[in-house]
Amino acid sequence: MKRLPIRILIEKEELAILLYMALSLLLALAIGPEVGTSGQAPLVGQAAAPWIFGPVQFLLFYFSPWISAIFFPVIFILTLAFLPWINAFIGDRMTRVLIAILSGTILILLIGFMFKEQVTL
Amino acid sequence: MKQSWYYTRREILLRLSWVGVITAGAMALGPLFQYLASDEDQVQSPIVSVKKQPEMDNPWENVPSTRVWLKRDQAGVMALVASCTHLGCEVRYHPEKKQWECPCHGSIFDEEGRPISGPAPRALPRVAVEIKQDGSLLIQMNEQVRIDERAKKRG
Amino acid sequence: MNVPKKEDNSLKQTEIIQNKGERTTFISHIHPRFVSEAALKFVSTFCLGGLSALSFLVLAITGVLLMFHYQPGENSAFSSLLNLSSVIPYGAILRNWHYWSGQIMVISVSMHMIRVVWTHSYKPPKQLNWLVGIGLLLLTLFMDFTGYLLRGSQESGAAANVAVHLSQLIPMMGQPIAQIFFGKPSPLSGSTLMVYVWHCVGLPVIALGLQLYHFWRVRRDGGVRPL
Repeated sequence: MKRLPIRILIEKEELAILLYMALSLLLALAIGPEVGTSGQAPLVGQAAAPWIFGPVQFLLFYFSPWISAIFFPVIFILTLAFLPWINAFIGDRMTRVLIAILSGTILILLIGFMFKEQVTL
Repeated sequence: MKQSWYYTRREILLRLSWVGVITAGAMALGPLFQYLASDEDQVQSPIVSVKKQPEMDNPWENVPSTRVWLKRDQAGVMALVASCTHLGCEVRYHPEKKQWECPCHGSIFDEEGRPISGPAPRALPRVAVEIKQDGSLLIQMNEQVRIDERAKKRG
Repeated sequence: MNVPKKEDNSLKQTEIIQNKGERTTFISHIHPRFVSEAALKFVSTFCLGGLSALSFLVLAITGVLLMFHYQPGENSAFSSLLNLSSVIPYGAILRNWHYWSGQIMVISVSMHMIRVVWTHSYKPPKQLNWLVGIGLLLLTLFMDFTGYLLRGSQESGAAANVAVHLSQLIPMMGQPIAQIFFGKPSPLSGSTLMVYVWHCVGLPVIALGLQLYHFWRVRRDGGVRPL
């Protein structure tokens, strides 16, 4: 494997910074996030959270708070955290399958949540 | 003979983009300064309103939570702002001595607000008073007037 | 940039160039001296780790700037936010930029984790670094959540109350934990002083420390080595 002087990496990083600033600023100028509803406006019934918490919200519709907000996330995080050790047991290919299953579950729950409510960012 | 370039295309492009970045950064300094210096979230109302006029010839009366003091003499109502003209500290009125004294650097003003001693250069500011139809007073903190001005009727 | 003069002056990527005589700058000094060619390929890492760090940097800078005009608290959060978005010059751009950088960071951090698993880069001796990465993922999610609470909107109040009740489910330590992390949110606003300090100081400082370890550890284990 060839070794390259660090200048090459720095150049790539500089380019990445430029692209990131340009794209994120474009996003910022084009779309603004909601501010939500003022506390002085009439009551809104809906409880919302950042969209990334959608999966937990979705589970909260169907299961008890204990399962959806404590049990499920903790099991999930522990599985992720112990992945290197799990990998020693189940092997490389199965680890990839496992992560695919985990990500797939999260994605499905997220999509389910998005269809369930009018999602506001 | 083909000339060999000292710099590569990559280097030239990178230098040009750095010039662009520095220019963009310099252009962002103005807006950044405007953002930081903006005080639009701390608007202080320049108008103080008081429900009724002070009694004739009473000593100076303070409007609560402001530096405005009101007094009424034969010619009418006047308003004084108890800010020392040296460096802006709040001056205190001493009714027994009929003096205003500034705790910061020791300036002393007489009953009308004129400086007697200490570093203060000018008299305590007077501001315009308007009397509305229902008898209440509107004190315009931004309008400075002379010592002999009295309240104007409006409406 | 002092490129040594050679007969054919092209800087081919595949050549190993002597670093002799090349000036080092502060930026180059915080990098390793060499990087492997395979690690630089876009498709090996999609630059996701770097993207996450870059978003964090942008979030930190825009966040500090936003702190000059944002006021936390039940009554002032929402109005100061409206103020920022409408009245204060360039306030809207800063807030939007802060928000979008945050969303980008959450996404890129998750995708970075998937990439790391896919390329088996968590194997011994890198398990500790993997755990640090998981910690960083959780911190990122908490920063996202606390940031959402700071809007001071009704939705944030509802979210804060749900979070407080969920924390109180934890046996024995539930109530103190809820107080430590969320303070006492009102039903109409999630913006409390506790959430503000966590979001602006506590969580970022911890995240920064973990990130520095994370980057150093990658270098110590031989650099980015996908597959």
